[in-house]
Amino acid sequence: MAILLQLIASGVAVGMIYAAIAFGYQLTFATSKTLNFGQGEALALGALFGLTLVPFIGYWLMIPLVLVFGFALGAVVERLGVRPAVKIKSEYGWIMATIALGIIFKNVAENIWGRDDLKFPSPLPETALQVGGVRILPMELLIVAGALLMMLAVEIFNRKSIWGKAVVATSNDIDAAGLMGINTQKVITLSYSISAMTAAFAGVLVAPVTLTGATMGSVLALKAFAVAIIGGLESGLGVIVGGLILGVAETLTGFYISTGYKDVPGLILLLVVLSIRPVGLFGKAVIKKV
Amino acid sequence: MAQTLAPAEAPAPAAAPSLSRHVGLLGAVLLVVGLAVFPHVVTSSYYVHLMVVIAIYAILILGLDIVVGYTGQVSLGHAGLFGVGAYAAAVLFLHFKLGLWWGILAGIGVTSAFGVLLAVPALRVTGPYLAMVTLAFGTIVQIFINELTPLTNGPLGITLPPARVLDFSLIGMQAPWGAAGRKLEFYYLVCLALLATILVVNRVVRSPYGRAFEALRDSPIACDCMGVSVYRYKVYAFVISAALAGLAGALFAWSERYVAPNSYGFELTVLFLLAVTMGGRKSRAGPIIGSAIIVMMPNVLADIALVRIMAGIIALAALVVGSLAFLRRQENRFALLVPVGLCLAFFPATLLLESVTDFRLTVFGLMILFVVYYLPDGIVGFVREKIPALRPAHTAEGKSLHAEGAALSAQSGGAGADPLLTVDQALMQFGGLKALAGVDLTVRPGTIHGLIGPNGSGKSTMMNVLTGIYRPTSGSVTLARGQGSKRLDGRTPSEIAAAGVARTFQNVQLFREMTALENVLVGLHHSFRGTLFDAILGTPRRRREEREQRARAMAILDFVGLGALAQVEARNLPYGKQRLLEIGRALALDPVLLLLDEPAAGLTAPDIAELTTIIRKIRDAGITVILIEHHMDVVMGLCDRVSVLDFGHKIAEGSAREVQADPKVVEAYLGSPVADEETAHA
Repeated sequence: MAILLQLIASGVAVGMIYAAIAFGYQLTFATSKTLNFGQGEALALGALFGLTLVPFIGYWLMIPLVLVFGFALGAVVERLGVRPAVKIKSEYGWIMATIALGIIFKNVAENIWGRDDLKFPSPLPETALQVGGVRILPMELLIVAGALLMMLAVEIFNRKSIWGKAVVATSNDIDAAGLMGINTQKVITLSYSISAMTAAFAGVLVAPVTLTGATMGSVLALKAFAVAIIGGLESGLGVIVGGLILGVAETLTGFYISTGYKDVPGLILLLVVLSIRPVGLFGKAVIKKV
Repeated sequence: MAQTLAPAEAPAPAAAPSLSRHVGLLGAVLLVVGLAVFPHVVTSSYYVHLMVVIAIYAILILGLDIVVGYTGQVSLGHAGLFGVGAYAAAVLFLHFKLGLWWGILAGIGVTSAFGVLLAVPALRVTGPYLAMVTLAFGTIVQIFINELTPLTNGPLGITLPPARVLDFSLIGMQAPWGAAGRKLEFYYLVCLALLATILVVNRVVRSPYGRAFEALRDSPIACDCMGVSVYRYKVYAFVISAALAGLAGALFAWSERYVAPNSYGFELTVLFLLAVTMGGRKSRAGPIIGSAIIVMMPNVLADIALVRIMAGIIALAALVVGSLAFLRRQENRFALLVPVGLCLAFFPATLLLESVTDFRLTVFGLMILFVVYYLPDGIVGFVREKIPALRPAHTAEGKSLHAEGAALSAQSGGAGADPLLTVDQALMQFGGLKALAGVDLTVRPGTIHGLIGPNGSGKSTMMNVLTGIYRPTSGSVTLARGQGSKRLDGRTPSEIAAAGVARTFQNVQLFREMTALENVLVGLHHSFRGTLFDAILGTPRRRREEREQRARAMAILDFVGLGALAQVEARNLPYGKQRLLEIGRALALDPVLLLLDEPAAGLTAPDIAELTTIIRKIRDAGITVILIEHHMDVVMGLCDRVSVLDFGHKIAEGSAREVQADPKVVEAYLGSPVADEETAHA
């Protein structure tokens, strides 16, 4: 029982990282029906950029700079990879372009920071706390708190600020929002910026408990997509639940089967959910006029 | 009962440029000769091996093109399939000491099975979802190869001995071409595999299967409504594509003589996609060119001097092309600055770097961006656009541009049965909205039945219920067939189409990238009996069928007055002609009941006159027509009977004249004068 609780506790922290990245997918999907296939690289670049800053200004001061970095990165991805493709109505175009940008980012990162995984200094003590027989790393608590705080902040931004309201309006009906004088183009850029910012922040949160490197984000991003699908690309609370389910499922697989297989449940879940739940033509779009 | 109609217009077959028909043949001959003499001209075993890798990748990319180019889906799982094929061959040797030929069989077989597996989610999802699903598939394959150590030898990989292509010792002979020739056996085997692949892909994409793939890409809904099940043909496309990936994988394992899990990752899959897009989709030359580029590129990049020269040439070319375009075009001048600037910046960058090998993936990434934005149809597409003689001539294949056979053959299905179609209490609810609130409708055979009503009255909903696009919340739809009758509600669109109900669409749903003739051929899909093997082998039955159906399709095109436009891509037809083509395509189903959804919308007066003549002829051929239309003169002139819908209810029914005079109909369209007076007095 204690082992199970322990596994669940560790799974929650990983799950919140997935939730944060999946939340980023939702943001861009809502405004433009597109996703950044290089989301994992945004996460890795955020972590590596943070790693470079930590020796100079420490972990806590580094975070706002990483947020700014992620924000700018998202804007670059949207401008170079998404906007031109959406303009020529090419779905293949934006999928390939965001993948290409992801590859470029990863390759450049490898050339700057090297191909080996690096150790990210932990800002909190690395001795585990004992809570009722369960060992919890302080960093894991920080991950959960940080991810929740990030999502909460974006939600508040969406509900309270005028730009956030523009994001919500664009998500509901991009044409109507455009007719109401909202610059939907800018809103989409903004959503990409916030999305990449979330990913970069998730990067510096997760880096102290894993290793940091150019390839750290690829599988994380794929599994976060599984979370976004499980939780629903439209529902904010769904990704938290989906993230927790997947995080726990993974630590359980890692413990009871083999750590080599720990990525499998998420990917299988993605395949199964998409095979059973019809999306697109036979899903919500059925009521589309023919 | 079969009625024949004279063509509405004399056929005017467009003379296919003779050159273009020979380009494919010429290319094939050049390829065969080139492959045959290559190892004798370039004796270096390094380059022969490079050629083998290019050919193997080309096999896979030709298969990938079926999924990407023809069905229009993004697959990020092909490196995974490639790996499955390679491991199938290698594992067979590791555990059972079975050689190359068994490996090829296993590679194709096992990978096809995985293709079916991959097709299951692909049936439900498209676009980014499918990309993620296939990416997940590829990742899972890699994990399992790594972890199933007893089977795959895990991360260590499997080493294979030199492949033995032909075993002469079995028949107690020496190889007639000596030791030097033996080294080339594998090379020639791969070349043969490549040529066979080209032949198979060529035949499949020009068969009803290939047309079905393109049809489901251009309009899945119309594809289903033509009786071509999107579901089934996606599986076919994935399985054919996977089988070729498996063949390539098995050959690759024996060519490299070493397989390891990390060789089949995400980067390879992206390279394959780059190759297919850069070479040019929907062609045979494109994948081969693309394959050569992605195989040669790392070698080119390893030579910094060569890279600098090439970067210099690219920069110069960009400067010339850029400044010419800048001077010529007024609009979008500054959009050009970005690519030109990038091309220019590339040159000094190569001068600064000692080696670009480490930036290999960056170069590939930039190439993808460049191709996606500036060369979306690839190298082959670009060349075809510049040199019209090189455009594909496959539409002229068979040369049977003469029309033959009856354009319309009304089926005896509904004969004698009265009514032909019965709708009983159809209810269609979307959330709280009742788009159809229990509508009854009976359509008598051999009539034109009008369905009118103001916008939002439920006409199109009725159409979608009748054709199975919507499943009614309750109520029944019954079609009289011969002596019995057939329930239509709850069936899929393709089943309903097969039962003899054809339709057109309010917003035209043609297969845009296919010619008019091919559009009609998709409608004729039901009359092809040949199997996939007929298509692959090019059997006499298959050729006879193709010839007959092309002639029949031409007869249909003549009937709707499009005979002269048979070889024009649907997207390039004028709007009025597109509407007529939709009717022709629907007629190809040999329907007993034809549903026309606002066929006159947006047509000019002469076009409308032509349309009414055609609709009358269709009715005279014994095909029952349901007509939704807003042009009242068309409705009143054509319809034997008219039903009027308003807010999901049927408010009137009768002959055109009766309905016109019905006060409830007038009220529905123009509003109630009584109500206005009441409010005025109040």
